[in-house]
Amino acid sequence: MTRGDVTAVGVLAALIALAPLVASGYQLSILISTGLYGIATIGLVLLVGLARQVSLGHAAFFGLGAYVSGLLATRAGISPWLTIPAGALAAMAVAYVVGRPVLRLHGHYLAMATLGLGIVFQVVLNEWVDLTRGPSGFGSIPTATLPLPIAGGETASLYLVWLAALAVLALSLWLVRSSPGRALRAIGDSEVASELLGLHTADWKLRVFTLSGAYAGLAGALYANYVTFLSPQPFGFIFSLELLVMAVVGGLASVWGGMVGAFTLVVLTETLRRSLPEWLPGSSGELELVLFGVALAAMVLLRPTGLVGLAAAGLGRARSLRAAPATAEEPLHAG
Amino acid sequence: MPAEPAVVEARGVWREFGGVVALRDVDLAVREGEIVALIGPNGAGKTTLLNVLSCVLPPTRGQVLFRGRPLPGRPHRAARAGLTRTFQDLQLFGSLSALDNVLVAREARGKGAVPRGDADRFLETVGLARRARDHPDALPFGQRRLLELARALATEPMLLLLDEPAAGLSTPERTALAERLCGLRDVGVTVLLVEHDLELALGVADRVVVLDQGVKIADLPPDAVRGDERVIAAYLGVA
Repeated sequence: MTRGDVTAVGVLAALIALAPLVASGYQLSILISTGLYGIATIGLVLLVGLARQVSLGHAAFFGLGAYVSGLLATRAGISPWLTIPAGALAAMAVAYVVGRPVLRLHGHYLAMATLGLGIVFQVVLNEWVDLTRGPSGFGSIPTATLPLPIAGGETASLYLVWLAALAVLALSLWLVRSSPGRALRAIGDSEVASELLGLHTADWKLRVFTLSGAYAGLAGALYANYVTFLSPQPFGFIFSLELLVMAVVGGLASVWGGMVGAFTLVVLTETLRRSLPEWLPGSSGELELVLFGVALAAMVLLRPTGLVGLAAAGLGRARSLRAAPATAEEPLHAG
Repeated sequence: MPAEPAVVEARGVWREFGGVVALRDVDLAVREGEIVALIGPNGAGKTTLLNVLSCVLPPTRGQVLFRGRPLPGRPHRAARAGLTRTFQDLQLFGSLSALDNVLVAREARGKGAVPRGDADRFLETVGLARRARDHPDALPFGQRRLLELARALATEPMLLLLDEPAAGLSTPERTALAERLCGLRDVGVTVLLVEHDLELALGVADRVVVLDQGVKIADLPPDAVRGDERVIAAYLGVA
């Protein structure tokens, strides 16, 4: 992690800590959603941005984490403090099992395999009624509460989700600057050259895919803990696409892109949900999807580095403008 | 006196792409400490042979031995056993700085992070120490070639396969490259060099192997190459 990253994580932690003092319940729910989706999206940034592998089934890992955590807490009566990590571990294990054979192949087979996984996962959730209660889902999931003297509800959820989100953010920022991050970037840039330096590229891709699955599972387990009701509907293909859109819009070149993309899409979704019926009477949810598609296409075409890349470019321009007068003065001094 | 063991040996290697035979029953042995130049006209099969020797492509028939044993099936295993290479089409890591390109090569050898200073000396070897923070895109083409060479050297290989390392280099850079290649021989690195610049290839090589249309047509000392009728015929297309 750079000094700038440490400062930014510290500032973000402080803002989250103070948010319940100034934000409404609705605004806190937006921050909670940002934290949840941000955790999963950071995993995708690592997978797509570093290793250049695409997952079209991350909703399944998210849903798996949610269902494992929720079922263990409701059916087996296990403490949520244990079921949340269990959800992450279950998603991690499935990512490993799916990724191990697929990532030995060259090409975009992972996208196909994860697309299939998402479909199978939906079928299992809907058809294994004895376990999952099928399409109607189940509720009353016991929630984890932080041992802090704070009011319950949104504030407790905000702190729990962001405790995990900040840990994931810090771990990922460290990862990309460290030896494994360099190895993954190298593999993303040239697999053949990486192999001929001694990097086992299939193993490295498997590691980052497994970590990415674990992040999505953790996010899902925290989601179950927050909403306390689960049904198959939110974990379909559309959600996998939304997570990818968050990663691309935020920026695949930076871990921060995961959080920025999640926040942008959550705010955009909420704004559209509230305002769209006023702007276009009779419009439905499909229009949201169209707008997401347009946003994705526009970002890929116009600013492939995402919003974080846009901000970095703006910052660079501002710095060069500040530096310009000093440069211009040099000939005068020289003269 | 027993002959020195071959670091890499191709025995009766064939490589076919559909109906096209790129390599036809090629035998080649490169012994420890040698610099062998592999030359031939365009389409002779030089890069294909390098791809087979570095595990990038499996041979259709025949066998490749590395230090007397069958070459490992995957490139990373061959690399860990002491083999590495550069590429005709540069394969630099564009998202990493020049220093990180070398650092990742150092780290790939072991199990973890290594000090940055450990990578610096390889950039110094090729005269790129001042460009350590630059990304490959910011370097002139010749310096990119040198960076790829520095990255390959950072693995401290036993066998280095170089695919046209002088392409795009200026005359002074070619001279410096030739000196560096001779320096590699002095530290015991075995080199198999594919090079179109005959002046450079013949200047540094202990032995020259000539390929034409996938067939090895000559294996000669450098001073015998220019006068060899088979080589002249292959290059000039004379029967």
